[in-house]
Amino acid sequence: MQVYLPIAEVSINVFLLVGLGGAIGFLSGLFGVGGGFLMTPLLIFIGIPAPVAVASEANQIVASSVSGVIAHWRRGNVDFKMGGVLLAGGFVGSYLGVELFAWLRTVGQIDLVIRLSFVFFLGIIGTLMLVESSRAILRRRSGTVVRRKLHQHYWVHRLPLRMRFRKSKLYISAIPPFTIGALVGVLAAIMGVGGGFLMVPAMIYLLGMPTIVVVGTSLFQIIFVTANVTFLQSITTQTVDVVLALVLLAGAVVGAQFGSRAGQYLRGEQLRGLLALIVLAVVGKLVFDLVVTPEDLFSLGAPGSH
Amino acid sequence: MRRGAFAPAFAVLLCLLAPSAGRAAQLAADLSRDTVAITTGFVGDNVIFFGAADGPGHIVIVVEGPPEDTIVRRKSRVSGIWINRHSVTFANAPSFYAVAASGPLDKIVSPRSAQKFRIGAENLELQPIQRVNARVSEGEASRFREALIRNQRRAGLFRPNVAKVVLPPEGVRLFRAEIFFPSNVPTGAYRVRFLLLQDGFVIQRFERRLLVSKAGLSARVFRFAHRESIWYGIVAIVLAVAAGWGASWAFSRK
Repeated sequence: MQVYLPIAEVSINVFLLVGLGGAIGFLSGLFGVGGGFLMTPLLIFIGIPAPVAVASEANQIVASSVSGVIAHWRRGNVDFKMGGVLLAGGFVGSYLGVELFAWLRTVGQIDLVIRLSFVFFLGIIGTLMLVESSRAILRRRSGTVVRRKLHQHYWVHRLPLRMRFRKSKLYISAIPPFTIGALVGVLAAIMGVGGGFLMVPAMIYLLGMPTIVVVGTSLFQIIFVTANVTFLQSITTQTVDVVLALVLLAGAVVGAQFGSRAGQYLRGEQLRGLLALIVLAVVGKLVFDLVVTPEDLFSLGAPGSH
Repeated sequence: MRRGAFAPAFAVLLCLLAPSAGRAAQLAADLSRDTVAITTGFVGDNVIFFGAADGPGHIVIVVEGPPEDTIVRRKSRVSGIWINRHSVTFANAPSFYAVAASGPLDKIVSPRSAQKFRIGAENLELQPIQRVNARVSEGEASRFREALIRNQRRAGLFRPNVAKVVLPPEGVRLFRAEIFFPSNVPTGAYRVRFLLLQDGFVIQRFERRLLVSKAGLSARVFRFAHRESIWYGIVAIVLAVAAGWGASWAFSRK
């Protein structure tokens, strides 16, 4: 059964979309990640125009983050003050990101920038995760225990504008979280991702936040940043396809439930290693597409549209 | 409903075909519908073009989508990866192009007529917009022009094959052709030209319009997104929040 997507202006099999949503939803439930960083490239692979894939995926992430944050909120694992600072940065970043997106589209480089951003960020994250998880697996086998400090203080924490974040047990400058939030906002606008894959490690390793509040707090920020991206893309580029977002969502919601159940049977480092391999496979495909000589060197674009 | 559309049109045609000595050959034609409606379940659609000519000759039907300035970009390899480097913009290139003919084009149309009446994608008048600093040589331009046609053919928007115009052998010369409009067909007013040719030259022409427009839910969503984009953005967010909330509520009750 085909469905005509009104903004993407292509007709796609509805079961393919629901299945894709379900598969990514399953992975995101399994690994506890947003899934946008996998969904956007896959949408591009199946022929959705890249700008529509990015903007509509941002819209879908609003929904998945809302359902994710509720569980963390009930357990009291959201640092609203830290979330607020991250969010302030996120608003600035996503505004700049959408402007940059619109400009890149008119000069015909948006596809390239979307793909390169994925290669760059997913490549780094995938490699780091693979190294870290294989070390953890080896360590578990040899039985050594490495002790770590609660958190370390770097010069970035001593910048001005210090604030107390009670829930995160931190007294640090507001500038680093603001900057992280802004960077994630830019990525949300350009890549159609929540940015959790970047924000979560940054919150743990750079800000030194306790792991337990990290996921809930990042989801809190992601809801508002992706909502802002949805809104700004709607008014500047008109690339948000609500039909696409809702169809994907239907699959993702169900997939995530199965994924989180399946996740209980696997160990943390094994999960991370598996996710790293999936991420690197997507990077491999993106790199392959960029490097291999295209079938046709020429492509079309009408000015001001996709 | 399709059949209903034929009856009145044929009545008109038959009047036209009444014996008429000393008049130039006449041509009249119509389409099986005025509008191609792109609905949510749209997977492409056939439109039937039909008509009658009271003189001998061949029939060619040319369908052109609304003209648009179209950018053709060429990738070059920059430090290992393929990047869009050069581009040429063609003014008013048709966004859709299809031809139907009652015989092989190279046999029934003279090269001059083909060029004059833009019969066959190769004969489209595609002029690059010259910019002050980026003058395009003729050789370059023709490579980009070929690329435009090739890309549009691959996308199915320049129909790759010449559709067949069916002409009965004798008697009243009624003709009929079917052209497929794929699911990615651009919206707008299409120009349909019916040409009657004798010895390779166009002796009669007849023009109709065909409207391709979104209809139903997809039309409403598209119009809403473009005309009231602020509200569209807000609705998109509200829908997403509601869906996320609903999902978490539904699954936490189990």
